[in-house]
Amino acid sequence: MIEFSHVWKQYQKPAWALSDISFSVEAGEMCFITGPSGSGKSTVLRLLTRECLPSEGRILVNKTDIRRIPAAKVYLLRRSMGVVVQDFRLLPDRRVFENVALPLRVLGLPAKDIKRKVFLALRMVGLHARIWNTPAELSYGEQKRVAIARAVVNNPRIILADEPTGNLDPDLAGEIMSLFREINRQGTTMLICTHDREIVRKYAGRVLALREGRMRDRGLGS
Amino acid sequence: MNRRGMASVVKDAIGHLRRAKTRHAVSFAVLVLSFLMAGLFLSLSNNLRARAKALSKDVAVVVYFSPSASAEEQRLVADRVRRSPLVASIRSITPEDANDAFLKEFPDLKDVVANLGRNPLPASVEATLRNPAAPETSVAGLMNELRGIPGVEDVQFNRHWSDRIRALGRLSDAIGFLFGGLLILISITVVSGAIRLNILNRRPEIDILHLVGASDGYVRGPFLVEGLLLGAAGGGAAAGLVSLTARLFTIYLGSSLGAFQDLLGFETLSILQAIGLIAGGGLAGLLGSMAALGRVFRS
Repeated sequence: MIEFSHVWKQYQKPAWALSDISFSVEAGEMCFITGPSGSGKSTVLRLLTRECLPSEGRILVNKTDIRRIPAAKVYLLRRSMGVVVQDFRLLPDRRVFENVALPLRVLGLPAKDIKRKVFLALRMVGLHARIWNTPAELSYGEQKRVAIARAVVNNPRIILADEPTGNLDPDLAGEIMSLFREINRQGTTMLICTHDREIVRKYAGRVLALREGRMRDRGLGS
Repeated sequence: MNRRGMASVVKDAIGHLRRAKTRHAVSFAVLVLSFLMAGLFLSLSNNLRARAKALSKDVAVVVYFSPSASAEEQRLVADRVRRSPLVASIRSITPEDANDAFLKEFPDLKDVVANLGRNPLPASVEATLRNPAAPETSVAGLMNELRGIPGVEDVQFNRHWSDRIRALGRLSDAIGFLFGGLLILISITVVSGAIRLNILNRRPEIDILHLVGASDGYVRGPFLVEGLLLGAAGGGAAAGLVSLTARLFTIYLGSSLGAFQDLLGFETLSILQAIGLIAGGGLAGLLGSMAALGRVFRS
């Protein structure tokens, strides 16, 4: 589903954000990328969403070389992914419903379908009762769950999550990870970036360890 | 884009306009002012063109007699004019007829004429041409011949007036295009600035839209429609104000202009011209949005 082949990325000379990274993630797999801050985890996600291009190497997503996708068609690549970013990026002046509906509105679905799918996604994250609240009226953990609902609402084949458990207490982090595992069980490929080794140890999945932009270790969580 | 998509873009654009009322009020005011300026000159030019057209319907060569001209001299001149192949018909006007017509046209000047103590207007012969659009050179020969006949004071060809008024109309158009054009350029810059601020203000939302797979067209569409709506509303308001000015001008100021009332009046815009102002406003708004989007997305 995802394949990195000898990928190098340099934002500014002389430092390399990623150096000769190669790995692959199979369809339906749950994979963690771990490493301290600045190790290149977020760069991997930015490359996958084609917010930037690799300096060298090849990245395949669903057998498509993302470098070959014309700039005007990048949105099609992004429609195949759900992304949970570290800072949620919820729109503060819109209700939970409108935030979650955003990827569906972009697809131009009929209002009836949007309502149904948003309700299902919010029910999955346990927030269907808060559908008409604004993000400011939700707790930190609830806001994170809204971001997850937005990522899964259009049933993407891949979910990319950047530090989904960052700044959460262990109970809440566990809740979020259980949710991810549930989504993964339904066949969605997951690539989760985290520096929380406890989470990686607890939840089964393949682990790719990065340090200073280089692949240090590949293994399995418990 | 399907109908649902288009409706969503328009809805988003109206949402943008609602959320930044103050910023857009300034852009709207500048747009209205710019198109009002262009519209007023257009209206002035409409009036001048209408006057010139009315005058050109009565294109005639007028022979004015000197006060000492005898009845025989006047008859000879009239005969000579009637014989010309250029002339369709003639009309003899006595000084009394001329005075009555003058007072009917300019009632405000009744006292001035009365104070003179005598009728200042001469007798004349008015010759209507077979071909009102005949070149001036073909009429010039007849005019020169008439000028040489005893008893003739002056010979005038009133197409000069319609030509002059037409030229004034063209001048009004040119001034309107120049000033209006300059103001419209300024309004495009102001709209561009307002929409640029709007885009920067909504940057987080744009980033999210890109992240969830929105195409460039989906992101840009509402901003383009926002500029289009703002501009069209500005052009529409300007067209309305021009019509209002045309009506109020006649009521409140028209009579005080006396003899100049005809030349300095405003004529209501035609439907086509009003649509032109609305479309021009929309285009200015659209160009402003495109400039703003280009600048922001390039950076």
